[in-house]
Amino acid sequence: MKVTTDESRMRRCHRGFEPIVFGLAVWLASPTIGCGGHERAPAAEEIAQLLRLPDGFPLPSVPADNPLTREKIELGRHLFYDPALSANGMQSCASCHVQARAFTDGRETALGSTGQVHPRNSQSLTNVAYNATLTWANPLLVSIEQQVMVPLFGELPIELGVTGHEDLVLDRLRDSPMYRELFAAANPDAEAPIAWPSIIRALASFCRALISGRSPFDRFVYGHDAQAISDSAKRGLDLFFSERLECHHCHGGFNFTLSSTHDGVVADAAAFHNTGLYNVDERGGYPDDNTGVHAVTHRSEDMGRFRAPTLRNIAVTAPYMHDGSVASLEDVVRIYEAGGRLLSGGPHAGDGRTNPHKSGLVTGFRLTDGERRDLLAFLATLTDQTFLSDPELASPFEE
Amino acid sequence: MKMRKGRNRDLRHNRMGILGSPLLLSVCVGVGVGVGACGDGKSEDTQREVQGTLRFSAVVGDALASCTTSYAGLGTTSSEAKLGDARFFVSQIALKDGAGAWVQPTLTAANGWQSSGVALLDFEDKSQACSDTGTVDVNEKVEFSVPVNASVAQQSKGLRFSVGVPFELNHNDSATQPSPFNVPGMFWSWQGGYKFLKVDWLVDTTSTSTASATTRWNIHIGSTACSAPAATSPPTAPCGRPNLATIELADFDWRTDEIVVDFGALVENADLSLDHGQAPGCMSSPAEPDDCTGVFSALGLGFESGACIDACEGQSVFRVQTAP
Repeated sequence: MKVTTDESRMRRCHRGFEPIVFGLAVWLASPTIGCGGHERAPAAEEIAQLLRLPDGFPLPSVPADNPLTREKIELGRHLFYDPALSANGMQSCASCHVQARAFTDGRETALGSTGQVHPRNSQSLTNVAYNATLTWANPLLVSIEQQVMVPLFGELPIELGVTGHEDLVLDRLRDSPMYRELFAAANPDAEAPIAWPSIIRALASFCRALISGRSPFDRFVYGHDAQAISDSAKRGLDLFFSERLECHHCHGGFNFTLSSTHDGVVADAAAFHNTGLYNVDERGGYPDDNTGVHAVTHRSEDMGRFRAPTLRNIAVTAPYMHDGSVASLEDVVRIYEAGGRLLSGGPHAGDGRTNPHKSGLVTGFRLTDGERRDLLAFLATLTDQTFLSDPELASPFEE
Repeated sequence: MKMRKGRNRDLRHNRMGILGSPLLLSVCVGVGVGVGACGDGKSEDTQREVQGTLRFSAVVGDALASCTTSYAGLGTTSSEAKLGDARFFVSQIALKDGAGAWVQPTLTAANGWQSSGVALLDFEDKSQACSDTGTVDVNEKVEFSVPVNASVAQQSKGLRFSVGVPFELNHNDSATQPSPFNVPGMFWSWQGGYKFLKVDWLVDTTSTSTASATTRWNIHIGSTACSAPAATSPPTAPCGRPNLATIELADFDWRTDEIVVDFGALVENADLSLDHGQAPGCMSSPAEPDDCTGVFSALGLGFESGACIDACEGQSVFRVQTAP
């Protein structure tokens, strides 16, 4: 199968909004449509091997009803990169999640396959296997299997636009000898393997394999290579982990986000914070289309709360924040220095620094220009070039 | 495995099975020899164990500690504040018998709140004021066992415990440790180890250093002055300021008493209306004497030394009361 890339085609992307597709979640969980129930969960060493876990990384949690297999990951990789998965054939998952950008798209906010604008910035898929919750601000989305249904079937906004065109997409896959083979290998017990549950499980399995942990920082910490990062980055590392800056309270741990979990963690790891980006009404309000967890819970204290994303590969995922409204990493640091963002004009004007819902850890700090450079140098050591160019995570199709 | 809401829910991980469950232990006591989980070839008496519980009750002054209450009269300037977080580790637990000897109970391992002799106590449920950094589940007890013939099996005359994690367990990589050592939010970094105690207050505070309004006065007690090549390396020698308070409570009988922890007493020597710079509140930094000294004294700790003053006898946070 040859897939051509039309550079002139409008790049349409996004991921991360949460029109919840609970009906589908129930349908996916239904034992009558499952994968046959004969799958055995692979042992820990086998999972570590399949995911090529770096030193120091814990085992991610894998749902019991979707055990990892090499065949599922490989099927998922094909589906991830195939525009056949969108109703109009215009977009694949990779349209918004570009490997070289740590699976983001470089846009402020994403565009769907039919041109609908998404209110959110396409999130990096770096280490999503460890996410305590998926997407920017939905405490209810706790598995990748649930999450992949959002871009597939979501209608507000339309992303891949499959709803109403389910059979059209399935027929495309069923007509392909390559997919018949891949699906059969991934679902050895299924009589009719090309179906939505197996698509979703394969996509989730591939997403779990998007493991990034071979950055200069990792060589410094886990590889004990003192020369792996510069002296400037080492000073930045100490600033990052200092009580003065407080970065590590929300971006701590091996995955540089508190909102991270793995096999053996029983505590609730969901975490969302208001970082004082907006204050449109003097009462702490965020722009209507992006109120964060509040949009799900309607609790006032959840206004403007978003998940702290991993900082791994952060230097290549501009623009930043849930709505892509901050252009550069240096600008992000300056906002935290100020303890929030003052927008003196524009439709969302207001002083986010005085947002009453702002996290108590975002209080501001002062940096010299040299310290700021050090901090940015440290953040750049989290870029994992192996991950950004790993052929095993790249498109299987000829470009 | 996701935790569900509920007080003192057992956090056992599925893989750990039922070994060590109350049911099986009661079988051990009844049957004695021959039960695989209990017998190791010693005499029958030492194979039998009694299960016990240390019950904790958290208050702020006269009121129960809760994420939904606003407390008045706190600290040296009588601040009004809400609890935003309320968790701490306890370790090195020992019970005193009638003869004055100390006996170390075994903390049961098959429980996500306890591991390697360390337990996490958690008095916040992520509701309201605790929704920024909290977790849903709470844990107000430590479960232990002692041999049935131990001197403290029926009664104890005192209790000793440390507020925090001992050095040898404090600086591992949280990501690869069992629960509760992997609880997000309670780990600083390899160099600093764990937050031994995390009690945050939501309060209107004037700060001497920050550009924006401060609404939080956090208390994060943990080891500082830990020498390591970087924040991401464990220290090679014990930290300069361990800040591990050892609390001794006289006349404590685990059969009838509970331990009261008073978060109001924790801040009775602190001024919550003012933050003297660095992190909001006291995060144990040697650079925060103005914010930390009063808090440390409530735990019996010297701020400069990071060690107990007179065996932490001056602490005012913990006391014994007869269980209701």
